[in-house]
Amino acid sequence: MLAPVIRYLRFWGELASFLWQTLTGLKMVYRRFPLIVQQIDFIGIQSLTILTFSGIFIGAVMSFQTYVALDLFGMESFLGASVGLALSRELAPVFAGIMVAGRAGAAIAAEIATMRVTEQIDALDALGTDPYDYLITPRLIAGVFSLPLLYGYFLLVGCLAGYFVGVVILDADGSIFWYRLAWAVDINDIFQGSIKAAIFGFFLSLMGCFYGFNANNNAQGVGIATNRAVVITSLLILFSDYVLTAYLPYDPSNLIYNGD
Amino acid sequence: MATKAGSSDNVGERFNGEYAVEINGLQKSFGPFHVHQGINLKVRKGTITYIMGGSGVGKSVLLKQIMGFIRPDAGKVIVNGESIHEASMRDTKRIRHSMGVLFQNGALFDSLSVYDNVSFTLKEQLHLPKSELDARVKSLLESVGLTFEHSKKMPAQLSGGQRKRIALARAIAMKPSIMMYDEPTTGLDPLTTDMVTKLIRETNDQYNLTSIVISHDTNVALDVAEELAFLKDGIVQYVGEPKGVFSDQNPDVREFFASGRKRLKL
Ligand SMILES: Nc1ncnc2c1ncn2[C@@H]1O[C@H](COP(=O)(O)OP(=O)(O)OP(=O)(O)O)[C@@H](O)[C@H]1O
Ligand SMILES: [Mg+2]
Repeated sequence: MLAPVIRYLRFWGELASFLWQTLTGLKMVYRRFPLIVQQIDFIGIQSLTILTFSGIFIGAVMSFQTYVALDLFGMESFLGASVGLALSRELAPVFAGIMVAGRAGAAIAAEIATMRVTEQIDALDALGTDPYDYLITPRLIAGVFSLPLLYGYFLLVGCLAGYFVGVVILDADGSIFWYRLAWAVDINDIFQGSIKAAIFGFFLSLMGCFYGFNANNNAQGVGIATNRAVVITSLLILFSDYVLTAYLPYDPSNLIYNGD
Repeated sequence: MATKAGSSDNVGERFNGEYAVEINGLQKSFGPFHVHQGINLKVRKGTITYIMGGSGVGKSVLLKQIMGFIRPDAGKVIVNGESIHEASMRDTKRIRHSMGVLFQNGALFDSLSVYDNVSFTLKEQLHLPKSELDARVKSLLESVGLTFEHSKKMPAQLSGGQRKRIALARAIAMKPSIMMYDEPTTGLDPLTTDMVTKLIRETNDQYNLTSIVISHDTNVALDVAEELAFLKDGIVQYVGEPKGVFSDQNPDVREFFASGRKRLKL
């Protein structure tokens, strides 16, 4: 009866202490600049291919479905607005987050878990290097820094694919697509999307590191750590996306259509 | 027993009355499982001490408590006169610097080249110019019987024996006074076992170390240990010269070492 509660509390306790240790690593962060760059390359640059493809498909399917629905009411001139809003506020941050969690978050968990199982983390400690400062902090910083940029990229690719499907394949008007998109999506939407992406980047790095770092010292340890990191990160992203959507300040009044 | 000449006969003259590591009443449990139930052990400076015992008796856990990675439930670990678990974080780090560890499979950093592995602590702790760093890496590699040529390789490209040598080079880079080895010969072929054992001996003399070797290889231990401790059921069952194990009163001790000997005769 009490055991799940205790396990739950222990999880949060361990996570908090893990985070605290990582934050204390921040004061030495300037020394870790090369490692941070290396991680930005891994989490950010190397995710571009997978985000190109997922961006294309999400933008395309979004545009297709929206066009079909809007067409029923003769409102296909709003296609660009719908696609742009959905992508910038929800789809781009969430999908970029989940895709990168599956790719980089899983790889981080596997790499650090392997280091745990093969005693490389103990070796760091034995050699006098703080493993938090050396392994965790650079990955967290790289995650928070990379995801907003990946978000921007995903958004761009998604809108282009949406344009292609809506305008080139289906029959929407090209200039109205971009005109309405620019009218509906303002800087605040992009800003909030970036904030979400940064938070998701934080989650995927944190969970990858956390589960990897606490991996069990046996053959299954690496697999379990990787699996948990991806599942928990994905759930966290979906859950926090809702919370952020509901509570980040948002003013829909700029969307009131006044006939122009 | 001709091979034993030169191993235990000169302990007396090198031992200067000081202990490198003193373990007093050490207790450690994981949940309901009592690994250590009052370990007492003194490791004399300058010696090679083997800590032996079957699988799962807590040899690795003991090593991690000496390093200060795992906190004991009760008891003390005193390293070079300082209690490592009672020291501040800063002092713990400093005490740790006097110890080097060769982990069970070397624990080389997979993502770093041999050069970066060997120079890891030097780069982290000191700010040396590249030429100086090169020179140090070269001499460290040579002291473990390798050449500078190996420095460009990645750990995955090395044999088990080479990995251990490089891990040893990395561990002694900061000139520790105590070197610990966790099962340095487990899983190695007989030739490599001899090579690693010889290396432990040579490193001990060359760097004036105290060596603590964890092992369950009774034959090697009887051959090179100057002092030998045997762990079972959470306590030290025997500590003393290797040759005493066969005449010890405790049947567990005789049995453990005799089983190794029997295998040798087959
Ligand atoms: N962090 C831990 N949490 C829980 N139990 C642990 C932990 N570390 C070790 N143990 C348990 O303590 C016991 C002793 O482990 P240890 O690794 O010290 O054995 P060992 O003597 O080194 O054995 P081997 O010769 O197989 O390496 C084992 O039963 C192990 O499962
Ligand atoms: Mg062990």
